[in-house]
Amino acid sequence: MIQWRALWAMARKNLRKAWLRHTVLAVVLTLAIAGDVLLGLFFAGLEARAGSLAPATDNSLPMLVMAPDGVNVEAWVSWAARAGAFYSARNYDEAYMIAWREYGSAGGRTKVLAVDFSMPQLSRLPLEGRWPYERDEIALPRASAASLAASIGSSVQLLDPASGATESFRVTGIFRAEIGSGTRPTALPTALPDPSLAFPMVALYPGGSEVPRWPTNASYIWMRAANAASLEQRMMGYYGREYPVQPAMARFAVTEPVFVRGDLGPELGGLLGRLIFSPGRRALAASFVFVGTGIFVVLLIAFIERKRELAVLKTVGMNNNMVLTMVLMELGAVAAVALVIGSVTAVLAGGAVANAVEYVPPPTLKAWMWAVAHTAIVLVLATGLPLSMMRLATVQQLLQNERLYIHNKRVTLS
Amino acid sequence: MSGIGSLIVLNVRRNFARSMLTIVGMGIAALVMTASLTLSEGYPATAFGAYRDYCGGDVLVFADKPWVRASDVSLAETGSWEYRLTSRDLPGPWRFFLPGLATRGGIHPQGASPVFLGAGLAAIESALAAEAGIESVRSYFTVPAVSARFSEIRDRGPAIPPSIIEHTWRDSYLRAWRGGSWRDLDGYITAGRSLTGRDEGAFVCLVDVDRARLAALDPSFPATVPAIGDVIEVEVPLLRIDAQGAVLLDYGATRTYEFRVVGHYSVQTREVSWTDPQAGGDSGAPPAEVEKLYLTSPEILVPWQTASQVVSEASGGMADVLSSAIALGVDSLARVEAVVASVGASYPELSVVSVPRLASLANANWLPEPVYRVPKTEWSRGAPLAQMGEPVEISLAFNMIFFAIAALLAAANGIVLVLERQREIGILKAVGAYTRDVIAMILGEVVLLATIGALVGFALAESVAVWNLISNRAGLVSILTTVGIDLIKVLGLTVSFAVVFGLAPALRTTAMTAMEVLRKE
Repeated sequence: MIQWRALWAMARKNLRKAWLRHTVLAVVLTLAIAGDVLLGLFFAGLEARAGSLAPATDNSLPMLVMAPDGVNVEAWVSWAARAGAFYSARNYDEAYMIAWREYGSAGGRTKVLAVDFSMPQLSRLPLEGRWPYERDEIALPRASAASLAASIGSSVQLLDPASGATESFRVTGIFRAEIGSGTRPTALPTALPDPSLAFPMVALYPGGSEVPRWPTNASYIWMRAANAASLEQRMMGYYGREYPVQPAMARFAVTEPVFVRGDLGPELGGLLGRLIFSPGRRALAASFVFVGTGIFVVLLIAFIERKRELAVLKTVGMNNNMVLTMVLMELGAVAAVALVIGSVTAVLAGGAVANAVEYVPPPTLKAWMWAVAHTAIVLVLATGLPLSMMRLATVQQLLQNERLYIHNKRVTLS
Repeated sequence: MSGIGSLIVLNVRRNFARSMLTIVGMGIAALVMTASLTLSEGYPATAFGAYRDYCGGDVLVFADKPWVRASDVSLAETGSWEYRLTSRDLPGPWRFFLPGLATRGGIHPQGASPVFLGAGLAAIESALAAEAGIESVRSYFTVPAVSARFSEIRDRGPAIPPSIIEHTWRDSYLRAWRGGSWRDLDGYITAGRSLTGRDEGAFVCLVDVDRARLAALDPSFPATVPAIGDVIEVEVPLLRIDAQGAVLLDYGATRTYEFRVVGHYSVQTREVSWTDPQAGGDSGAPPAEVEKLYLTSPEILVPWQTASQVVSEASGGMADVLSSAIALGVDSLARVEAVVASVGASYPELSVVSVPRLASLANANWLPEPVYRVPKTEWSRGAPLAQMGEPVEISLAFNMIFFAIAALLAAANGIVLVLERQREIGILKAVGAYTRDVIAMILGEVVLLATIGALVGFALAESVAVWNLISNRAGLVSILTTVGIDLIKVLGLTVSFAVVFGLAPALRTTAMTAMEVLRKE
């Protein structure tokens, strides 16, 4: 039976007696909690800022996957369709097999897509003129039309670099490469440009032919934006297994599939942000090592100083667990004070910093919980050894003026 | 005073294990700090030499942002960058080190041109030449090409007419090289001769012989290169510069130029080794296998004036140089990263990165050289690198934290020492020692241990830094100055941390009277 009330009274007395040590502990813990919240938010803000350098797009989007020749795109895309627990989650809404080739035009190299214009998402693109149907017809995005100085009815020359032959196409339509929300009706106040649609397009089945113009080697995949990154990762995993090519070959030819989608800008920005600011988080982790070492040292010294006191308490009848409870109460009181002051400081200072610096977000509950979790982990790790020494050392060991070690869960003399 | 000195040494020896802990802690802190002071600033003179020779400089400056820094994130306005794939129309050194820019793409400031052009290039070149520490400024001048064709005459024996086989390189382009004055590649010529000053304006070229080996990896590449004296026909697209200053290539209209091959080059860059776990047998571990790697460049090197004439004709006189990057030569590779930082700060709109930095990143990802014998298990972890971000430099904060941790351990050592020897200190005081003597004893021990640790750590890291300096042919005076300044910094920081943290145990002794201590026993 543990006498809680009596132990708490002793702990209070100890807190008062060794006020300097406990104040130091409280200040260290307060700084750890508040510092973690503030610095964490600062780095999160910088990373978010890197992600927002390029504009974001709507939450449903097309992903254009262009694979090198010889890849069985249909098998690849259908393999990637399902993922998740029990193979249940569907990665995308719809996928269409298309084809691509790289041509040289009067405006530089350009990838030309051969698509089936019965694709409902394409039919909603803002289009002047009509979609191409015959073999020698082409539709251009507005930017390409401008750089080629082409208008509806005019003809454009494309050079096939593989054969060196020049082909002539008649422009039947000029479209804006903007789409809001894939399978759902577009209801965006301002349409956002989508780089995955900004390619010249020709008919995949020209003149109603049964045979595609080029072997299909690409796909338009419509999905929710949240699924895009994981789908791409899954597809790359399959690709790396089925079509292994050494990285250096990418210098000479297209060996990697090309993934283009509207939200790649923010995603790449976020990746860069994490890459650039990761040392900040590492420094934060290193300063937690300092905090942990500090707590460890303070408690170890406390143990050496209190050897006689603990010996007396154990002699007059306190058992190991009562000693531990008493010390834990002292530490708990210090930690509670630090938690309150640290949290209040984090909220107030964090709010002030968020007001002053535009890209730092105000403190969040998540950041606070992480800070508390980090501090708690450090506290547990740092206090483990000194606390178990206080608990396990016998009266005899405490009174002998020798160094103590923990060995096989027992305290032994040196 | 000498009495205190011998007491300090005695205490250090009595407490050998804890003293060693303090020395090791301080040594690690000093090692990390010394490394971040000088070592991270540069490399030995021969590091990544082949890449630097081939690029024509030690630092590459790009017009847009293949290499992003923290200042880009804080300076640029939100929403002002755009995602794009870098076009193969504008080839350059990024194709070697960051080929993923063409497939993975990256984000760049809106409207930033990926090339330097015309008057802007000349202005940037002269401004860069005036920066401190920069010895040479060379544009990485490339001329895009649609294709390069050459024919191979294959002898089929006596009495049978030789057959003529046409070959085409689809990935080649021209690279301008100032014959005679740029001599870095002279050592890489394997046959024929290098470009000389008299070649300027002539249609002659150098080609990389290692390209022939690519056929082993991809049969669409020719398994041969044109012989010395053969002619390569290079088809160059016309160039247009639009109102915004962007370069557009017109593949609808091309001009063909004929270049006579005067030399072959081959750039051996590094060796890789691996062990085949299947190899070996009962006799022991499998032997390490080694492969020499070659840069394998698609570039056809032509004289500068010739390239300039080609661009001028292709663009109708609108441009005479088209530079995908600027290569800077620095006076000492031992401080190349410092030069990179200062140039990057002066030109926030450009991206600046050292060739050793790019090359070491690329090498870790099995770039830029193709491999022929290395098994897939080795290179499957690599990836074609795309846009990179440079981790922020916070070594100062790291150093402070490391020193603080080390000093904390030293202080704990001191406090434990005071606690364990209360009786001893009491006796010292009883027989006439002043409090200041005892403080000097404790503080002296902490400072002595910290100094030993710092010197060991400093010596370890600084020896590598000194080798960097010696290999870069730095003078004795500058080596001594660098070492001296570093030593003052490291020792100063170590001693100040030791004193600050050593005060805690030392001051404990002031609260202690001889009677008090002896009464406790």
